[in-house]
Amino acid sequence: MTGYVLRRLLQVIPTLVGITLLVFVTLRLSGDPIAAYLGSDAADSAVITPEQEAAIRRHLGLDSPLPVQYLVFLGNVARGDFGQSFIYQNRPALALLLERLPATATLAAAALLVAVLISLPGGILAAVKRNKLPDTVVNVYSVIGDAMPNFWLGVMLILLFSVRLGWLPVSGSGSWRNLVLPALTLGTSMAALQTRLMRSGLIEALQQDYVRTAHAKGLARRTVLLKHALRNAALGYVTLLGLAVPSLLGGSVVVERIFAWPGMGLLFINGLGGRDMALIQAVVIFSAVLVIFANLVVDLLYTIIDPRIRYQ
Amino acid sequence: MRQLRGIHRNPLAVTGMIILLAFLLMALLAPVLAPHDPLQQNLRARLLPPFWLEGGSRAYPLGTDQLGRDLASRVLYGSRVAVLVAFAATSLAMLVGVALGVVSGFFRGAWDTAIMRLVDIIVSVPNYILYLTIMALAGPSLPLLIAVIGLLGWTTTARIIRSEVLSIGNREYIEASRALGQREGVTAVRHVLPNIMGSVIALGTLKASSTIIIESTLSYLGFGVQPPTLTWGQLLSQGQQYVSTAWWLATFPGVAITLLSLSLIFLGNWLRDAFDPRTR
Amino acid sequence: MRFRTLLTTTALLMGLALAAAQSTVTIAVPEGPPGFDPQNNNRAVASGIYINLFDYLIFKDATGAFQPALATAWEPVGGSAWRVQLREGVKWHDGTPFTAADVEFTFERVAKDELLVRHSYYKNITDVEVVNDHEVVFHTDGPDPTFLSALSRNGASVIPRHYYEAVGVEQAALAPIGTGPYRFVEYRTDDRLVLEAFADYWGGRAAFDRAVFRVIPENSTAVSELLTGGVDIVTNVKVAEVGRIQGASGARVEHVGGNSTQYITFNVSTGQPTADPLVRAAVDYAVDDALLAEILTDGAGVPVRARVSPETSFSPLEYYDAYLYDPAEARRLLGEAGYADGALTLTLMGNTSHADLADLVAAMLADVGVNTSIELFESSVWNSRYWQPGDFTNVAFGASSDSSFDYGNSLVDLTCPNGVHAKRSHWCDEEYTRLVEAANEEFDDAKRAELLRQATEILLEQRPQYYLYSNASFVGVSNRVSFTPRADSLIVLAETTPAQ
Repeated sequence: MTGYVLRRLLQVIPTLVGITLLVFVTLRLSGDPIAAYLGSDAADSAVITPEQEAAIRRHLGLDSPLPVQYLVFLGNVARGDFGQSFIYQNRPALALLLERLPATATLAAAALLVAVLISLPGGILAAVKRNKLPDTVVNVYSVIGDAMPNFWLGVMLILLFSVRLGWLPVSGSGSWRNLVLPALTLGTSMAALQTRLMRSGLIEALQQDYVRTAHAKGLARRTVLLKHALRNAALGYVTLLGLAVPSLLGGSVVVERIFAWPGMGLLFINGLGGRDMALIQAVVIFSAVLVIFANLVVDLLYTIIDPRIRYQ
Repeated sequence: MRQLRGIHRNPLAVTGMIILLAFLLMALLAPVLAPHDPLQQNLRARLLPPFWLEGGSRAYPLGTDQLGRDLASRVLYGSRVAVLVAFAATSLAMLVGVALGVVSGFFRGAWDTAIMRLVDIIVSVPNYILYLTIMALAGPSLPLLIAVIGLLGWTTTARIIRSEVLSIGNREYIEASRALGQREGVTAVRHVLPNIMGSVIALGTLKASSTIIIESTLSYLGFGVQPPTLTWGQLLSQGQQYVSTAWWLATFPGVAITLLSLSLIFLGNWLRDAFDPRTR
Repeated sequence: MRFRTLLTTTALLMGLALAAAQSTVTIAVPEGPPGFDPQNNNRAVASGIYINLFDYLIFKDATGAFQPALATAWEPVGGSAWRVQLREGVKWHDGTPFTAADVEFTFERVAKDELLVRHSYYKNITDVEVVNDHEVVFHTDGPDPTFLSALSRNGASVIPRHYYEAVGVEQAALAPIGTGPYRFVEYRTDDRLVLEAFADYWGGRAAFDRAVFRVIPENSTAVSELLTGGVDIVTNVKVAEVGRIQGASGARVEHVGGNSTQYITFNVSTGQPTADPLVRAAVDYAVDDALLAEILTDGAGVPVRARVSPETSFSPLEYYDAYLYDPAEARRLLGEAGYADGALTLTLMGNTSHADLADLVAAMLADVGVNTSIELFESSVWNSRYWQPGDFTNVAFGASSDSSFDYGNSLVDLTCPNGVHAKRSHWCDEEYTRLVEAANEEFDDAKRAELLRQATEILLEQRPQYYLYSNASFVGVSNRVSFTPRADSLIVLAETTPAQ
């Protein structure tokens, strides 16, 4: 087991190096970070002297050749130093990011809960009552969930539950009531895919030979469903939860903006608007690490759920 | 393509097909169908509601926006970009995905390792974070949007095609042609491609639907196609500012996005089942 | 363990009980302060918040008049120095007395550290001479009649020397100490900033016990919060949301003008059709500024012919509420420039927020036979393109404000010292540059106003920029509070009270 984990960890390294290269090239090829120092439409007119510009470049290490910049960057990243965010008055980008992590994690966990609460019963119901009314209802839901943009759903939920009905706060964070609408927005659209996969996984499992055998042996239908088919379908479902990490992180960018939820997504959008290189690279690399880690965990869970899989 | 004959037995697929065709016609015939020039302002008719509501006018069937421009015409013209982005970006993604998937599955070895490593890298970064970073830093534009979705959205396709190729790669006729000494590339094209066309089309249809959502979401965040190019995502995000005073501005583009993407999903689901060897 | 939990719970409950008895004002802002180093901030929203934590030496009241703040008296000394008397008995939030050493530290830091965003506005300070604990003399590298404005604008907040030296810049920017009416309690970045009234404030205790700034980027969300009682004040309300607040019973919209001027910059370099002053004049005559202001600012903006407003000192106000609009004259000018109907095509550029403006201007230009193509950019892309290399074709939309509210400062933009022109317009006029430079060294108010008027006339004749209207900003205010928005967008809580 330990050997397997170690091997998997080693495999991650080239992927990570690839990501840093991707990030570095994208950031350096596109535009001038000096722009962030300049005024925007609403601020004071931009006044920046050539001397000041040169000083800023030196400070950001932009005056050395690109390969050198990359190596320096890689070395810093390896030490957890993603640079200083200049839109947040030179605070370390990683510190800013870690500060926001709990908010995003809370939102993601709540959204995942919503998604599980919908997709687990929904998927089972649809699979068991295949081609009957519940199946159709679940199918239509899952298709619409896919076809409706997240931000649109969020705005509609605010108008209905906060403005019209006054049941829930519009935005912000602090209590569980603030969490309901963002989690619903993010969770319902994720549940669409999960419901579908739960349904098809279960249908497949129900058609497997051993389930048929169990039926033939005269086991009660419920027992068959719960003990055999569900256990098998759970495998696919666990994979799915691991795969949900990137969509949760990506979706949080949109949802956090609508609901003023102070997480990583909001930080990222601010970084983009201010062309804050340190912040952008920190978010991209950090979220990639999270995704890779989640995949690793899923792989390990797999081997625990299904003893047939060997650590190869 | 005999699998496609059964469409009439699937009402959802028929509905999807009809909606999709309607949108294609809208995009194609927008100049004929639109009651107004989508940019034509009428400052005396600002924020008119749809015609069936009090204050609405038949001249502006879906109402007008803050500059008195006809919403119906704007939605019609917006369908052109939606269809273009969906079609172009999807084709690009499918092309890259199929090519790399086939290469990976057929030649295996170093090619396979390199391509799958690239897939690992791309899928490790959440979609929206990757798209937004590139769009924001390079400066958002229509060609870039198509390129970004096309050149980064091929990973799922490549993986699925690779596994399909791996599974049919062992079939006897492929082994036979290998043994006969045909050049491997020719073999790949002649035998593998026809076998995977079905899944490619099905995948592409579903991909096109997500492309429409991606386009509108990037526009909402301000990093999509920039005005004055009309896109539904933009209409929606601009309209969203008026959502409580002029609901129609955000509602109709929203409905259009949902309908088009719905039609593609209906079709895609049916295609997937039609070509799936397990359900065939 | 259990005992400690009990204690904490009790403390928490008591805290809650206290909180209930306290009066709180909650303000929604579209973006969070980047931190609390006032010299490293270029954002108007953040300086609007800083004014509650820190004080300027001199405070401009709503009419633009200088009022004593941390300084009580000031006078020019010779040609290039200012003597400033400091207020006695002022305390920092940690109880330490405020002295001349703090003023010296503040202005020497911003004048010397070129990595600070506000450095360029103070780099003309050569020395801050401490006379005694409550008197300093500022030395500048030349005569500077706008110096008092510089002391009362974004970047001029006085910061505590002892605190910066004890904890370092990074910590001081995280948990600031100031002399302002409110003291810092907590900031969750981009979420909420909690302040608490400072009992020892030299200007008297503020009316609300607590002030909470909530960061809500989505304007419609912020307005929904106002309408449901979640916040008391929403700054930066978009025109689209104004009607919604007006229609509600518990809140109202206040607006204030003069915060920025919307304009068109022409690229006048050779080869551009806009190099011809006749074409620039034709655009001026073709565009109906009053209609633009009516539609884009819900009638709250005012058409202008220069960057003037009643709130900006030394503004030649005859160009306020004035505009040229005569399509026939525009056509005649175009003919004179040699363009037949439909022969001229102009590219209009700007950021995404200029979409409606660009469409309206395009329609107006079409009416006089000028074709247009519109190219808009995401705003960070536009900023790097427009402000820095002046890289645009023909016509660019922009808006500028000047936090010093001194007309002479806003004219510096277009000057061309030593033949180095403003990057944006590529316009260079020696006489204009001479007049603005002379005005900004002139201590006699009447003479200065006259020099600025002459410079303005050159602008009006040559039109490197064509000014459309003076923007208005909208603020949504709950009927529970009495709040007056300011042109400089400072959120002055010291003057904010519960409604009577």
